Amino acid sequence: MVALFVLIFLKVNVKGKVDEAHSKQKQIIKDSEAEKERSIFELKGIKESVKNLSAELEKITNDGKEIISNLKKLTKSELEEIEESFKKSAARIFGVQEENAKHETKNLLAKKGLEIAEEKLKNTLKSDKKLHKKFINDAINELDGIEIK
Amino acid sequence: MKILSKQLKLAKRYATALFKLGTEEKNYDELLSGLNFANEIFENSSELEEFLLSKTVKKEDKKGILNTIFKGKSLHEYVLNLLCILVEEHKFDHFAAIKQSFEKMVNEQNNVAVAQIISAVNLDDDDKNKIITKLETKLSKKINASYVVDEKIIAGLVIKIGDNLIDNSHRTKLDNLKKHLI
Repeated sequence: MVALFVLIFLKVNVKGKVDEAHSKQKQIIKDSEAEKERSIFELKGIKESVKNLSAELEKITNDGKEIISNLKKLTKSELEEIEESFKKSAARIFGVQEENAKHETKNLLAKKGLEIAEEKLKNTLKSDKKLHKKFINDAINELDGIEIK
Repeated sequence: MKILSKQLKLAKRYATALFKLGTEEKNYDELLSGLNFANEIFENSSELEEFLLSKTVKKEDKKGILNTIFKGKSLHEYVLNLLCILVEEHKFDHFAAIKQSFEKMVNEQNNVAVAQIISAVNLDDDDKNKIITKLETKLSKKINASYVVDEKIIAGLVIKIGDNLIDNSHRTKLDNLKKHLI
């Protein structure tokens, strides 16, 4: 009977399986500890960046204060120079817009002018039939100067 | 019948064959008037044209109709034969292009240039004669002119002759001014 148990014990390798289970548990515990350490490290990093953020905010505020302080210190002529520079930039922007507006107006006027001219020409041709004859004669005379292949 | 550019190449072959016959017998003017006569009939009868172009109508029926209409009339037998060949070879849609190509050959042979003269009002005979004389002198060719009245050109003249377009219309002058100003 004992021999049978020994045989089954050897065949199934119970010891090996128990050892393997122990080994897995040890590994899980080890991994958990490593995860815990990593989390602590990340937390430290976040704390550090928050600390830097407040420092950066302080720096920006100080820079702003310095600019205001410097502006206060500017002389009248320096202020005038800045104002002039602003005016020039604004003039440049408005200049482009003015040029576009001029161009559009010119086109509109030309288009309207041509429409009026065409209408006037048609009305004149209606009221004076001899004009057709004149334009036809002009076209016939222009044939002299045209090269036909 | 609308002429497609791909039809022109094949049409030229038929036209050349007919022109050779006309040159041998010195009757290409008669053949041209026959082609023009047939073309006029087809243009004025869309039903006949549709019948001849139909793919469901038998060739024999088409040829029968052509013979009934044209045989014994002023249509030269070569032209009637050409129409029958076109029906036989399912190429009747090439007829207008053949006529155009043949006309061009005859005009070249006769030293004639075809011109279309467009004006906003009817031209009187004096104007027509002046235009023809000037064109004939310039080209050293006889001019075969057709006249079209088109109010859209406003005033002046537009002359289409060969590959030339002579545009002295006020419509174009105004359009050119518009391009220059805007």
